[in-house]
Amino acid sequence: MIKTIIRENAYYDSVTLMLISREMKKLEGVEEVLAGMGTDLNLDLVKMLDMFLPELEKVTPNDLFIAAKFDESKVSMDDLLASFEAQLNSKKEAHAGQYQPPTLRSALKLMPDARLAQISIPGQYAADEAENALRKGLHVMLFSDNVALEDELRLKKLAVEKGLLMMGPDCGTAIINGVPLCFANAVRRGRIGLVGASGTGTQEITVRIHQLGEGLSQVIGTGGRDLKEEIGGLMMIQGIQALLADPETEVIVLVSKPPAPSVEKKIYGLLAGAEKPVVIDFIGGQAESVKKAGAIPCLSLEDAARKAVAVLREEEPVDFDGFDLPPEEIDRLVREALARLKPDQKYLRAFYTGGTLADEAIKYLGAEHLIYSNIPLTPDRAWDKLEGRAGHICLDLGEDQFTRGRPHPMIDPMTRTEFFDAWLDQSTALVLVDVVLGYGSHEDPASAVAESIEKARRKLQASGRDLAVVASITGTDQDPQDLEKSKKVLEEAGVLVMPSNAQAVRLADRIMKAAGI
Amino acid sequence: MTGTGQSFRAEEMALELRDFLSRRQDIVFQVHSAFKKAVNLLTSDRVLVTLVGEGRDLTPMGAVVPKLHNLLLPGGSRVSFSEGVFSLPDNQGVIDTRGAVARHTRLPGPLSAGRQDQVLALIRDKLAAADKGGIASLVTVLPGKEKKLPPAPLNMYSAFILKDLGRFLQACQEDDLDRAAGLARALIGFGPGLTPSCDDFMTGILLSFYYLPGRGPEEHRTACFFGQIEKMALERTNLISYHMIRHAVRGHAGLLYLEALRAAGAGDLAAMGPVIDRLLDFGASSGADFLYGLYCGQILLPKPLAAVHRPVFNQEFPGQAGDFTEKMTG
Repeated sequence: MIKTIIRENAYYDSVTLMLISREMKKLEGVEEVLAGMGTDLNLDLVKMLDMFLPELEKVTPNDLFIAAKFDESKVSMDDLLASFEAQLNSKKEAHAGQYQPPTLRSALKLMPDARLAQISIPGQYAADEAENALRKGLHVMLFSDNVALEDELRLKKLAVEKGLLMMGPDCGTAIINGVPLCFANAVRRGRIGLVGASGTGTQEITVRIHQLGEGLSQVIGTGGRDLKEEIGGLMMIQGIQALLADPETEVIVLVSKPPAPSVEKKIYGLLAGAEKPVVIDFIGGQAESVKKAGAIPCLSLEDAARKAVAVLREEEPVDFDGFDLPPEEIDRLVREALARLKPDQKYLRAFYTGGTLADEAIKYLGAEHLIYSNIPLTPDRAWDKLEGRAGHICLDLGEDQFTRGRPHPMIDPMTRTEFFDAWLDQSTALVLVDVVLGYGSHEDPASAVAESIEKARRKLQASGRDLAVVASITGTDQDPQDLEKSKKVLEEAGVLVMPSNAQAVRLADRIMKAAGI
Repeated sequence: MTGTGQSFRAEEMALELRDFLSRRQDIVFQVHSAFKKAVNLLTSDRVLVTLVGEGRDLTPMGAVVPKLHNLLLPGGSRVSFSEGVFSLPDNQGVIDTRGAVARHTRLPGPLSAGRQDQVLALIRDKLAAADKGGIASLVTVLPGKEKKLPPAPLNMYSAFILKDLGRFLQACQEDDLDRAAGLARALIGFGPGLTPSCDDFMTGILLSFYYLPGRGPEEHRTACFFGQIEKMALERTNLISYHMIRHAVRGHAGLLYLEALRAAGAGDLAAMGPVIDRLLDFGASSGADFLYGLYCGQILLPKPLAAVHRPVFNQEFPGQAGDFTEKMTG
């Protein structure tokens, strides 16, 4: 069935039009939706898609049209119209509903006791707004990126001067007094405090701590550039000092990429007199220097969580680089994966939505395999150095190059879906993915992965091929997305779901070695 | 919601709008269209004036009115202008333009010639990584194979327009502007969005040609090309998009577009990065499609200036020239 909606002399901004057509496309039974201004060429496209109806003859370039092709047994034109109107109305309601203070000043009038401002506005305006908040005595979580380095330094110096936290810019994860901010999981409160310069790294550790039965006192984000020479780790240091002084925190965890040497020295100097145990995962950094500083080094994000919990329970922190499952069960999973593959299936396709999770995967796998990436271990392994498709890839799809003008893939799985569609082919042996749950994330990322895998499998079936797929879920039983359901959906799609990113990566490594790829 | 009877102040105004208003004195506008932070007003002789709110860039025949948002301005309602003040319908208030700073919405002269290879590579890579739903993702295919880029699936708009766009670019590269103007008929008005993608793209092309040293509207063939495109836009696209093209053939554009042109022409890499980011966030796909047009316009520089740049570009990306035909027929 094909139907059209025509609005004469109707002008909606382009973003609205795109959203409307995308939402309508999501309705079950809808095959194609085209929304646009009624120009001759747009109508030509409608004709080419076999969606042209006589009523479109009368539209002019100044009219809006929507043409839809759908299965009448599953969806009706009334449903499409209702969806169209709902999208338009939701846009209006977003502006007209509950009072949303337009300025920091009016927000403070509404909530005079507020102690923290969360700022998410375009980067060029963000620094001024953050400074404004700091000057009013508020801690700041600055989600915005594209803030100049010199502005970040200025803001952080001001925060230190005022004894405040300046989390960010580009800070995506924090949990303050039990309140998750931006991308964070629902974890119980407890006695472990964390300062993190990495979003999904922080999420992975907090989730594993929760799963091990413990909880978090405070989770402080710093933004990714804090430990660079230019910023000097001002917020990492401020965060450590806050947790050292916090009576509810008994163990401190630090997570970041390796800091600049001068920053590392400052942090270790601060820890020298610390009375609380400190667990450090400077991902890919030197364990020896951590030990020398009297702190506990880690092998992975999961290992950091395990060691923090062990220390809290006054147990010996032991390196964990294995699996929760017994060895024979891991061997069975590897055999099962190999049985799915033909000899000419050779390549790993690792598509991550979490940057630190991708980083952890590349650092582990890159030690023994040639992995191309947009966050490569060495410049010669940059993604654009890959010849055609002949090579393993591991991508951080949350990097700027993939997210310009579209939501982060943790919010909207579309970016990853497109990569699945474009890259899973007859040469693919193994797929490795993360599924990040929690506040801020997509409502059902597991189903999006499962659908893509099932689609790829159908495509490969014609040549008698299959895929091995390994995943981990960064989520808790209290997250809004339903952890158990997410796991079930993935397993039903034939995905091997491991208990952590580190274990998923290790399993991927085992499969690659066993397959000789 | 902005309250009733308020007084708004325009902070900036396009020079040509100031001149227009001062020439006409008392004017009655109709509200053509209203968005969250922009209002288009139309005179009886179809002159379009665009008022935008905070955070939006000044556009040709436009003004920036910082607190202008969420006004109730139904299409067709009347806005009068007299003695420097717009009076909004239903006593919603007035917009005082008398203190507004008048600004140019065009560059002072032809683009300065700098080394462009890095800037163009940056544009290409960022466009390739961001399919905004318009036609800009075709940068992986057209014009020519500057550099091997990872394969990306084409959206339906890109797939539909691929061949026609390739033919148009081929004609531009051969400096056959007559043929290019004819082929533009297959582009104007095509694509998603309020300003169809190909119109945004064409704006990038037009502005590139306008500010090209030694070309521009003084050159007869370019002037004819501009004239044909403007006429075509009047017939084949919507009013808002037509005005965008009409301004472009006169060298006028929003300030963001002008800064992109300047930075691309001068090879100003430091300025170009943030400008690209802002363009990719502009509209649904408008900024990206414009940037793609600008990119193509700069790559297709006709001979005098091209002689300065092409060898550098080709050295880094061999096979740049003359590859359309192969793509089109392949």
